[in-house]
Amino acid sequence: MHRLRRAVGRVCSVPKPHQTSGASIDRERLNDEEAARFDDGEPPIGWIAWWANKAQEIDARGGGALITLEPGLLGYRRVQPIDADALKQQMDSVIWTRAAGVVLAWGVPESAMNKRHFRRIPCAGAVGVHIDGCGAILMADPDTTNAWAW
Amino acid sequence: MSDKSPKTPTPVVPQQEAETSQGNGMSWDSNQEAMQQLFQRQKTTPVQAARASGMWQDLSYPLLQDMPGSQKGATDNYNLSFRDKSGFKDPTSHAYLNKAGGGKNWKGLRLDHGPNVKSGGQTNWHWNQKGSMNAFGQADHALANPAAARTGSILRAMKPLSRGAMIVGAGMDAYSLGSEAHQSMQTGEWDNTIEKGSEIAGGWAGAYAGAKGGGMLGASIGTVVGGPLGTVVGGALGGIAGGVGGYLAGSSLGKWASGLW
Repeated sequence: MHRLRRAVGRVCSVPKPHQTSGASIDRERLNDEEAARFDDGEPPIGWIAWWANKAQEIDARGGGALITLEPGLLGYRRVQPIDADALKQQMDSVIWTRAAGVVLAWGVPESAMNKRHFRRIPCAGAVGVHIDGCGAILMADPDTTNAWAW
Repeated sequence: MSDKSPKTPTPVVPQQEAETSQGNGMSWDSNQEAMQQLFQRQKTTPVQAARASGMWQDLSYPLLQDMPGSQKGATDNYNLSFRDKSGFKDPTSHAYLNKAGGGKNWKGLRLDHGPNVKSGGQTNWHWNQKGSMNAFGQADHALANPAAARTGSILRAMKPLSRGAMIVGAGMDAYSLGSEAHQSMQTGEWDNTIEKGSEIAGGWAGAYAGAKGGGMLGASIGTVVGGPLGTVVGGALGGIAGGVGGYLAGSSLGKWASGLW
């Protein structure tokens, strides 16, 4: 978990104290059709829906942002307001398979929006994609982490 | 008055210096000679050919055969590469079988090292794929067998070495050409520079063509013999061998061509 957390921690500056939690796709629990889809490299429908729901939920917390990795050696991140279509598009892209290539964050200051960032982005909490796009890592204050519904 | 001649001061320091220069002078000369010999050896064509072949990891190799497509009855074309072409930072894969015409969204098969969802998030070598299940028969996140894992480790270790060798090789050739040009400026005779220039140009062009051709052939043969791992290994070996052979042949051809002028 420490290694997984580090990827999100490099992108977002979540105030301390914070906790980390995570979940990933469990292939054994997928039905045959979903398992076949998963084996062919497509995310299961339920996984796509989970991220869409979380995007809505995070957006409702205020200061919601979609943080995406930009091309280039320096690893800049683009911060933009959460958009369901944009998130869905990212799920098909290369950055979805990168550690914290896509992050949903809340409590992001307005001044950070619609800009490219080299430094860590201040936010109240964040959920980042990991494990080749098949896992989600949450980093937030202990209350939020404990109450988080995976 | 003493008839003794005045005592000359003992030249302690110069003597020591003389001893030092005499004692170490010989070994310094021989060291310098050895270094020069070593440097000359580093500039020889076979050594430079090995360095130029380092470009194999930066090229892509189209597979000669059509692979079964994701739709029934359809076929897809693939190419092999060893570097991530997406331009994003920190790629974790070390061999890519890219589906042609995938557009912005990558499709194909890649040998990846990182946390694997099918082994409980453990870090290991595995295959990641999208839309190439029919072509290579590897499921997404399938654990790589020991041979594939070893190949992945070797590829990962060779990446910086290959690129470093290529850069050093280019630097050495640039130095050789500069030396010839310097000599030509002093003598006014430019034939030696032209010969060296065409030898170098021929060598690098040959290395590119050889690596590309060798890698393509090796990857295609490897696909028939050993599936996706065969493609990767065949492409790598073909690229290296082709690069070395291409440089040697190209530099000879360049040298010969310069004599025609």
